[in-house]
Amino acid sequence: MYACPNCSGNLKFNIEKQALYCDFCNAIVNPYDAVKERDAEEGDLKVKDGAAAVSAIFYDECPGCGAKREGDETVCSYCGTSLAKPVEQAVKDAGSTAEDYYDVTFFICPQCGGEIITEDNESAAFCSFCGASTILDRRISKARRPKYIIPFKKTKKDCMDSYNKFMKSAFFAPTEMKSEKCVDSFRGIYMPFWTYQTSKRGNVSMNGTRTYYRGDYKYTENHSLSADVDMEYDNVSFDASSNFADNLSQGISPFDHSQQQDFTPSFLSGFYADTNDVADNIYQEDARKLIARDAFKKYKNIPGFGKYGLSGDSNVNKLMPDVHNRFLTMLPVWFMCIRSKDKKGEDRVSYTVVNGQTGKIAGDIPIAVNKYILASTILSVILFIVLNFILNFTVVPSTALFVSTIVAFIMAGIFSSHESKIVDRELGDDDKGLQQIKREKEEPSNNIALKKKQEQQLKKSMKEKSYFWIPLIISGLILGAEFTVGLVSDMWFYGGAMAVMAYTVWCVIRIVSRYNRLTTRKLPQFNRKGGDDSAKV
Amino acid sequence: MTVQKCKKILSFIAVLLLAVTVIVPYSLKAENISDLKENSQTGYAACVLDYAELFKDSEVKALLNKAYDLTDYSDVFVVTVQKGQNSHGTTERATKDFGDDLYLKYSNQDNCIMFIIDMHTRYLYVYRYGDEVESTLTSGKCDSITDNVYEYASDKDYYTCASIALDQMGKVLAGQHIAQPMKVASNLFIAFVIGFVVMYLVALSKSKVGKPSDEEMLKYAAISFAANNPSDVVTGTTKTYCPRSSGSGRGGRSGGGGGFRGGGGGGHRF
Repeated sequence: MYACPNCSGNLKFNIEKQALYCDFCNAIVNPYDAVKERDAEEGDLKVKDGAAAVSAIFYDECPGCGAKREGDETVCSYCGTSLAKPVEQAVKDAGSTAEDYYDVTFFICPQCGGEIITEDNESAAFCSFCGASTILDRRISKARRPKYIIPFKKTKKDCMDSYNKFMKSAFFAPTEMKSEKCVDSFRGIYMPFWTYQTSKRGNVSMNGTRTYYRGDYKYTENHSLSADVDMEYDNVSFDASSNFADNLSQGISPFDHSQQQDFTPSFLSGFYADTNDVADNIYQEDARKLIARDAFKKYKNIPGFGKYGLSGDSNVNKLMPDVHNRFLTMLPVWFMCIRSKDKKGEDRVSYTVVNGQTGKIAGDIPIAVNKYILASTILSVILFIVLNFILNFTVVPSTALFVSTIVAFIMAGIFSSHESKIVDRELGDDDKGLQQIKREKEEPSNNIALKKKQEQQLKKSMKEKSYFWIPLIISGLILGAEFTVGLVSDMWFYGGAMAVMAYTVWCVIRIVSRYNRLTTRKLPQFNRKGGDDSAKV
Repeated sequence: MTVQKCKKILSFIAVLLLAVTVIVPYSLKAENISDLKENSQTGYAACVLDYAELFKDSEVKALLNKAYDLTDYSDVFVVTVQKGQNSHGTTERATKDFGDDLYLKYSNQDNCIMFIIDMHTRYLYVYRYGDEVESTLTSGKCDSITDNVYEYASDKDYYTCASIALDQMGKVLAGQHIAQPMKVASNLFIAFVIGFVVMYLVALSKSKVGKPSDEEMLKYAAISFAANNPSDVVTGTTKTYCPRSSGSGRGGRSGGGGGFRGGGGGGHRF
């Protein structure tokens, strides 16, 4: 903890004052002047810097008996010797200096293995990642020191206001998400982001064409365009934690790095911080592509270049910059985790996050099925009144059946698309950070084709079927019979339309409930000690 | 089968088709209309053309009287078409085209309505031509009327079918209300299907947080972009003959010059 120089009270970072503040004597202290009281316990070095760093922390062979280290072992299973290297050795092997690390308290969730850092000595009784209400294991350790930090600018009240405003327009959100208890559970967490500095210098040439007509002839001119490009894109950031889903971290991006400050641990006082476990190269390509796409737009705007219809990935790739620097930045995020059970009784979590600097919000907002059905019914009645009485719209039964079938097909398509997304999320395939963690867990395999096939089979088995052939068969039989055997009675068409409509409504409700599955996630299981798939609260 | 035999058969079919297309309109022209009743006040006439001989004499008279009641608005025809008589095909459109033929041969008035029982296509059709009747007797109403009476035709009760159809056409032309169960049922299905889908899209838009655009992602990035010495060199030109002035559009039955644009309406299979 950071002690107040006046009264030795616990200093905490105050967002409004943008300084450390003592609640007891109202003292205000510059974060860079704060001195940390030495904590009583100090454990092993913990370098949280991706897979590459693991070998820097542990011996590959037991220093006691020489047995080979297996899996996540930290202690030799044969002789009980600690496999962790001494701090100085680990730091040296990791290519870092001791100044790159700082002492912090790690809270480790016994259920999901999620780790969270704090500068305070208070105990944490709630896991921000899996929502478990349990006393988290506590350990003093070292974490990699980020280079910069953007301190929280939005207070919890600002965050709650943003959330309430957002929820006002989320008509279909479950009522419990709007409860005061839920809103109050936001927790300020600094999330680690990799920030990239990139540049590209040199001549970039692209081929363009211009077409014009003269008389009855079409002329196509091929042009070679070139320019000496000198570009720099700095402060492009992507999250460096597998805890933080890509869609959420990008949803609240960007952060204004002009407000970033040199990191000092005292900024964390009063907040939590996540550890970075995603290697810096994971999002590097995403950053480069993002920059190249933007630079390409600028390139096309070079005077005289706009008329040549430049396009294509190959041209974009010519502007891919080089990453010449990357560093960790702690960015402020208000984080809310709601834990719920699905129909099978399995625990699920959903997150809502608010940018602690700009107030931008992103979240997994489910759709309450009862609200959806009520609103759909009301809309249907209004549509019926408009069609029937205002527009005097009349269609014959066969057209009603045909339209219903087309809509049913569209919904079946949406359903299948949702299924793919759900499976990707369940397997962590929609998050590059999680993919990395998954790869680290997996046994290395030489048979890549077999592995891919197994993955595809797994995905196929996880998908729920859309039964798209039901409306196809119903309408196909009835409309076909109309033309072949001269089916006449309207009742056949009404019956078919009713069956197809029932399918559509069933399909839509399934989509909504599957969408809700997409808004929740499996309990996170991190590649750390403590994770337990079968753990229940 | 030899090639020559095939040719013979094809030639026979071609001659037959030609004969049908020539003879059928000619036969209409040569028709002697006896079941005709003219309205001297409006100049419109009512007529029953029972080619398929579906009605008894008394029924023809009764239908003629009913049709006459509608001559305040337009010419009125009750037509039955026998098998093989409609040379336009076997679709609903063929029945409509048959109505066009009859209109051109017998009516040519500003307004004309017909109730056609086509035994060739097995379609009932309410045909109407003219701005005034079309504005009142909409195609939707025509669909509803035929839908309301098709079951009588299916039960071979053609008189009741035509009689109720004329009643309902009269009610619509007089601005009165007719029952339209088909319209209600179909609209109900469409409204519910669309309602659930649209509300799903609304719910999704209200619940989903979109991915920020590239511009947004780079909003706070420190960007400098300079492009010096831009050059533009023509490396080659290709020339393709590509005439831009094409011929005029195709003419047609409903082409310019104030020609016959064709009538319309609505029908139902029976």
